[in-house]
Order: sequence, then C-alpha cells, then structure tokens
Amino acid sequence: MQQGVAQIRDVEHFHWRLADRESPVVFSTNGSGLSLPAAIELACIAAHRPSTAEGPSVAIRVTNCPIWSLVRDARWPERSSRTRLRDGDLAVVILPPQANDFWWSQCIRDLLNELKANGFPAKLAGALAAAVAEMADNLWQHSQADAPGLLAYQVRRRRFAFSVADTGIGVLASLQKNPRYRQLSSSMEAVRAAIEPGVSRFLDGGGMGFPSLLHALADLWGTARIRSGEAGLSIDRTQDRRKKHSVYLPPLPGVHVSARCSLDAPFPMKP
Amino acid sequence: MTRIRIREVTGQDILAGKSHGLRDYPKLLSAIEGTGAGDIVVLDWSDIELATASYFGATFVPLLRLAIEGQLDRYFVLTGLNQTSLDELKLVLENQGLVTLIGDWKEDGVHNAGALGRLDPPYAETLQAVQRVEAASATELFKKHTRTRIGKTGWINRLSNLHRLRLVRKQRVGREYVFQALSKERSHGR
Repeated sequence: MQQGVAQIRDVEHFHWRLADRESPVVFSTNGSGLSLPAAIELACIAAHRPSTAEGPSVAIRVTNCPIWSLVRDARWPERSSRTRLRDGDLAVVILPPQANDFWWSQCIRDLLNELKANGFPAKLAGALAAAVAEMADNLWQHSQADAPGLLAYQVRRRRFAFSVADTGIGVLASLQKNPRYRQLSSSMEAVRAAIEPGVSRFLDGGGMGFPSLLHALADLWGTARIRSGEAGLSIDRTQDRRKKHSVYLPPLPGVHVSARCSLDAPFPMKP
Repeated sequence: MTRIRIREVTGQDILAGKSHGLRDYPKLLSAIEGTGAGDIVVLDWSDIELATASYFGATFVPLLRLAIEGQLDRYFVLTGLNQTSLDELKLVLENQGLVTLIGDWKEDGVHNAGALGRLDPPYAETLQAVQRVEAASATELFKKHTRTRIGKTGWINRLSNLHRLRLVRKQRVGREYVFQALSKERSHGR
C-alpha cells in the first residue's frame, strides 16, 4: 500500500516485485493517486505484463485518480489511434499512426496555447511544445511499433508534466541499426548516448529530439526521465545544479519519456 | 533576391519533427530550384508558430549542405523566425557545425542580418567588414584595415571560407574576386 501520491519510484518498486515473480503482486494507492509519469509508467508495465497463466497474479488498484481513470478509458495500447480524452487540466492522447496529420498539428497548437494561458512565457511555451512534438516524432521515426503511441500531459498554473510512451523496439535496438552505434551493448549505454545531439539510428543526421527536450527544460525547474529496456536515466534539476541519475530496472519494451517542470524553484531561492 | 514564404510552401504553421521535415523538403527544394542560380533566397518563416530542431534538420540543413557542397548555387538568409524557432534552429546548426544568416525582412530587402551558429571571431569580424562596405576584395580590406596584422593572403583565406559557408557572394571583377554581403547592415552574432 502506497501512502500519498505514488511516484515513479513506487512504480519501479512494483515492477521489481513483478520481475521477481512474487505472487500475488499488488499495486495499490490509497486514493491520493499517482503522479502523471508514474501513471504512464504503470500503464507501460501493464501493457507488457505477462499473462496470468505464465506469470504471477497481478492486481493494480488505483482509486479516485483522474489520470489513471483517463489512461484506463483510453485503453492504450489496444485503442485505435487519434483519440484525445480530457479531464480538467489532464489530457491523454492516443497518437495518430503518422505525424503527417492535421489533427496532430492541432493538438500541438492547443498545447502551446494552454501553456501560454497558464503563465508560461511564449518562448518557454514554444520550447515545451516543441519538446513534446519531438518526443512524439521520435516515436514515429524510431519505435517500429504496431500499436499507437501514448501522450499524456497536465498543464497547471506555471507547471507542466508530460509523458510519451510507445511499445516499440526501444532505444538500444533502434540505435544499433546505425553502424556507428552497433557496438552499444546495453540500454543504459544507448539511452546515455541518445541524449547527446546528433545521435540517431539514421546515418544522415537527426538525433535532435532529446537535446531539444533538455534545451526546453534548461530554464525550468524539474526532472526529465527516459526509460527503455533495463535503463532509467533521470535528469534532475530540482536543485541549483542539474544532475543525472541512472538506475537499472526490469526490462521494459519500448520507450517512456516523461518530464515534470515548473517556472518556480521547488525550494526558497537564496537572496 | 527571391523571398519564399515557408507558410505558403508548406501550408502549415506547426512544423514539428523530422516527419514533417521529410514531407516538406521536396516542396522547399522545388521552390528554391525555381529561383535563379547564384540568387539570394530569403526563406521567410513569419506566420510559422513552431518549427522544431528536427524539422530544420530535415529541411534547411540539407539545403544548406547542398549549397556548401556546390550542388545548389544559392545563398540563404532566414527571416521572420520567432524566438522558439530561432532557438531550435540554433541548436541544430551548432550541432552540425553550420552557420547561416538571419535577418529582418522589409520591403527593400533584408535588414539586420547576422550569423546564427558558431562562427569563429576572425570570420565574424571579416563578415562584418564586408557588410560595412557591401562589397570588397581582399586587396581593399587589406588596405582599409591597416591597423590589423592580417596580410592580404589572410583576408583572401577568410573571405574564401565565408564564401564556402555561403555567407558572402563571390564575383570575379577584372583580375580579382569581389566578395559581396547578402545584406547591407552590419552583422551582429546571435
């Protein structure tokens, strides 16, 4: 049983118990809910969990949590693409099968306007909308997934959180398609490489998605996290200096990128 | 000088990611090929709400590379970029080691042109020197800048490299080359 809002760390702990084949494995919150990245991480795990016949008995009990309700309603990854569900400041978008879609441009425009309406200066609102667009585009360019991708976001006054997830081949298998990165042998190495500018499965350039995300977050407080395979890489800027944290986790197919950011420092600034 | 409005060519105001870039690249290349060889092509991004780094990486960067490699005889100036798009473009240019000119479009042409991307100080100074006088040969710059230690060969090398980067035009006049600025005003790095 989790106390308070369950965060990514709680979901990671649940994933470990699932991987260790404890039975029964229960994830339960007491009504305070899940953070947005935690909810999407849980959805990713649920999308890939072994069937009851071959794995442990698993129960996910989350009550009175708007983001989890939206994710459940979205029925990702089974649901057909191009769906947008809203509940107050929360949105869950089942992405279209390709970017070349007016509907998707409208989604990005709406997000941009929402960010501006919630106190984000035009430059930062643009940078964040660009980062979301780049993360979704990464999915179209690299995931090779049959199922549609998932975008979830929450815009509050001067605060923003988003997640983009897919069920594809993951960062390691994608980068290994480029002869330059064929020697990469772990998802952690691949994720660490992927955040550098110009690193892509394509020989003719690209690889600006993650740098664009980090650039957008440079002037904000918060954290970004990239999860793929056994790797979890967080870029933490909740203190004065930006720090990277790596954590090895049970394998998760596809990629889940999440970020939570704020215009305001999470601690009193020194005068 | 020919102005191409990106909004009209693409029909979109949100230009996000490599996917949109791959869709639009043929349209842009086609529009540019409709201009004259050796022409200054002003790519006007006004009315574009958002253009991301990967979009530029799949559209403008290949065009600039074609020009630098001599396969597309055009000189580019970008105008009308909002701050977000400007930052995204800067990100990709700096990563690729490229430089381009950005400025403001007015009825009589491009104003306030400056270099975007990493341009070493000697080249930035040379670009400014050319923009101050609109056009100059290496001999003229050598004679004009007597307080510097730059020899005539130094000016030739700097100007040739700026031309290779497509930041100035080159024209043979008599026995020497004259290098022309793409806009009249003094350059300021961005």
